[in-house]
Amino acid sequence: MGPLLLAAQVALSMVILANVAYVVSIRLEHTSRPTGLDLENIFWISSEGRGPSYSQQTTVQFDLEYLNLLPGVLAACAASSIPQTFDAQETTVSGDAEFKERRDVLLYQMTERSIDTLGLRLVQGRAYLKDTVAPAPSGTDTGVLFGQEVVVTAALAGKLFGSNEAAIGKSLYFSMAKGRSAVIVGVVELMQAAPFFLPGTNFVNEIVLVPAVPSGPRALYLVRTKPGFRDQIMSRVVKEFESLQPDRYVNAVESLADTASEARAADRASAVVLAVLASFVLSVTMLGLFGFAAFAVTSRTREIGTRRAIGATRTDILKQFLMENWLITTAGVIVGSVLTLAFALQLSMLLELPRLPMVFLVGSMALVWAAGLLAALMPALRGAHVPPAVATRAA
Amino acid sequence: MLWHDLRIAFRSIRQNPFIAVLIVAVIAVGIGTSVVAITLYHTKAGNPIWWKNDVLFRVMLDSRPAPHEADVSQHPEYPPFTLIYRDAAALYQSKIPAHSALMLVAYGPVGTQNPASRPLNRPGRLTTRDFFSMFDVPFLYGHAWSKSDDEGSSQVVVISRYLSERLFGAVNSVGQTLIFSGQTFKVIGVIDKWTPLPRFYDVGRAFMPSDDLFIPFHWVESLSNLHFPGFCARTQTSVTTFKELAPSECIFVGLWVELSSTAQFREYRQFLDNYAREQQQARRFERPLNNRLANVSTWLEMNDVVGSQSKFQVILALIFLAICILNTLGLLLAKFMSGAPLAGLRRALGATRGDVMRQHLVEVIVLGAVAGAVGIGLAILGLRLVRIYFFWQSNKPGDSPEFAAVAQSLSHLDARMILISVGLSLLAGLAAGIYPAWRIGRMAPATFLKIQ
Repeated sequence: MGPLLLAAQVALSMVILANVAYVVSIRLEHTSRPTGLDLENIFWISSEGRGPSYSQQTTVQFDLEYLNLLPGVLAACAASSIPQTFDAQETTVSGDAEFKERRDVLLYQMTERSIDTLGLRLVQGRAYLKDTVAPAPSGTDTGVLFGQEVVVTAALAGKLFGSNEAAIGKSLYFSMAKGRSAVIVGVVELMQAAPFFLPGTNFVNEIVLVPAVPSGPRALYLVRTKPGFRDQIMSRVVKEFESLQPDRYVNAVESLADTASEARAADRASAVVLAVLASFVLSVTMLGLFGFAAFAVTSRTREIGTRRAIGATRTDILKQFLMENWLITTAGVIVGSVLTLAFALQLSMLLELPRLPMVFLVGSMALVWAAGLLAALMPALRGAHVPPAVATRAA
Repeated sequence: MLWHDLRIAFRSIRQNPFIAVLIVAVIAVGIGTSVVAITLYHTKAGNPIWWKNDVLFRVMLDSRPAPHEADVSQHPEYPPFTLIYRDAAALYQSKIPAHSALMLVAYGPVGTQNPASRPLNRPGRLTTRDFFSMFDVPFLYGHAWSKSDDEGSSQVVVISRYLSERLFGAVNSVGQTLIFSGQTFKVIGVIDKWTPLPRFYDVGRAFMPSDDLFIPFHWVESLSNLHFPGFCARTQTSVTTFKELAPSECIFVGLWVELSSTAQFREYRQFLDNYAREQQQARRFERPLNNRLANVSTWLEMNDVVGSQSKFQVILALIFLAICILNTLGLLLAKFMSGAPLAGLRRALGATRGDVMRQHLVEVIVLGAVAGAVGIGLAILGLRLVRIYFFWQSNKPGDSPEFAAVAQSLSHLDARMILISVGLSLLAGLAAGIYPAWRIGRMAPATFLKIQ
């Protein structure tokens, strides 16, 4: 009965270890994905107009001039939403007017110098020009005007046109409504808008940057500073912003690095929770294996003594106990492999993940084997040190 | 007899305290982990208005255009969760439901008339008066607005306790005025702490800070600065201002109804289908009849409010508990076997099998009870850690007590959870203890006496 229990424990532990390792590795991959943004040197500030005297267009124009002239600022632009959050605008675009091949994308309205502000790398074409930046018509979706110049990410260019080169000069259609097309003038290498898939989507790196002044009354600015100047400029801007234009107030301000880290918080938290659980599992199982070996050695001290007395070496005894443990672990591993695969199948349906890669199965096998040997080592060594004389003693 | 059994149990535990501590520790960790996982799951999966689950319904109409081959949504069979304004307005006119409420939510600046005060950016819900009675909203001061206020007779607002304290201090603020998104509103009621989690009536914001203002739906037209997430399936575009949304075919309005009897449900269902048929005839709706009335639990399920992530964690925790039980079973077996000579002696002196088995079971129960208590302690500690972690990660301590409320309830151990954990530890103790106790009881006394 004892060995059976242990084998069952080992099998269940393997199920947990393999699957948890897989899920954690996915979470970590999500949180460490490169963003293409100069995260460390960007902050955002959002203000909101109050009162009838507030005008979004004049405010934004004035603020941008002020921000871009601040010493230490590399570039600043107004934007419709904050990158690295989940509130970007989703829309559907196509490379052909009939919408045969369509992609769900995230869309950001941004004023000129957006590429410099975000720290993106332009790999084809050029940025949109200042005179193409028009006020976004209030309320309507994308704010894309006919024939307007837009910049897209290489991921989107590749999906729609095959390559970055092919995308330049092509029309990008924004809806099946007639005439809603823009012209692609530039392609940026990479922009990861959010750390991982938004629920039900997979397009966080297929992005369109549209030249527009977002409609009010909220005005959101992204500011990129020289390295080391961020916090200093951030607090200066907060201090001066409201007095510059009293008919608005500052809503919120944060460094983009903090925003990005918050967006990754849930993934990181779940990785930590799962890792803690896995370590509990491993220690409890090792405890079980240790206990079993220790019990076996204690209750069979006389047997060991006898074996030693008739010629078994210490190594023989050590081998005997390690082998017993190894057999139990192996039985557990065999059953565990089957269970792991079955569980992984359920898991991939529940969490919508690709199938468990074999490396996690093999890795957890190796881990359980090693843990089993390690747990049995101390009791087995104790057994090996039982003197042959024990056999002659009365119980 | 029980006293005698207990004494034997304590002596046996004292004899081998190391194994006893191990057993308690292993079960306690297993129980603690499971209770943490189940609590987190329970908070999300819980139905915060279970007592009205079968009378509250979210209304859905399939107003989508004919299917497009590239429909990528996860559940193409679901009708849209929100309604086109003109449909919502038409359905709201129905006298069949006991109560019904339209709703929309938008963030906007809210402040007092004092020009020096800084406005706060808070979520305001535009709704109709039945909202408060339908959802059993508790009032601290004042009351809900009247039927004539619904039609716009006065510009009134119901606010949260949090907002009231932020704007006016800890006093009864009924009668005060505030400015929301440029419009002046008179406070008519203040609701007490009310944080149904998940926020079933707006699953898009299921775990976000609570609504702070409730404004008669009528005023949506004059609050022209607010933006709503409207989506137009026909043109595949999104539109955000009410001025453009109202005449459009874009979906954005939520509608809840309270149907208190099966007859009422059937009548309303009929009404809904008739309405949809009329729209089909008018060629507005292009799909076959697919209207739904989802009760609260169905609605939460349709929206996948309980993350599969937390389901996964519960499954893992339960497997872990199983491992702990197996482990304890092994430990108990070893412990009882090492005490077997004593049991054999007892049998030889006249104790029956039942006696020996009972004595061992009592020992298991004592250990299980201690493990359960330690396990609950561990769970409380674990939940506290979760809460600390939540705030540490969210970077935003204490601006809004509602945010704190979210964290609080995410990690709150209520009576039900304590009951569950006591049950779990009993089950765990029994699962781990019955076999060893039975086995030791069944042994022939001579087997052990021989060796001595």
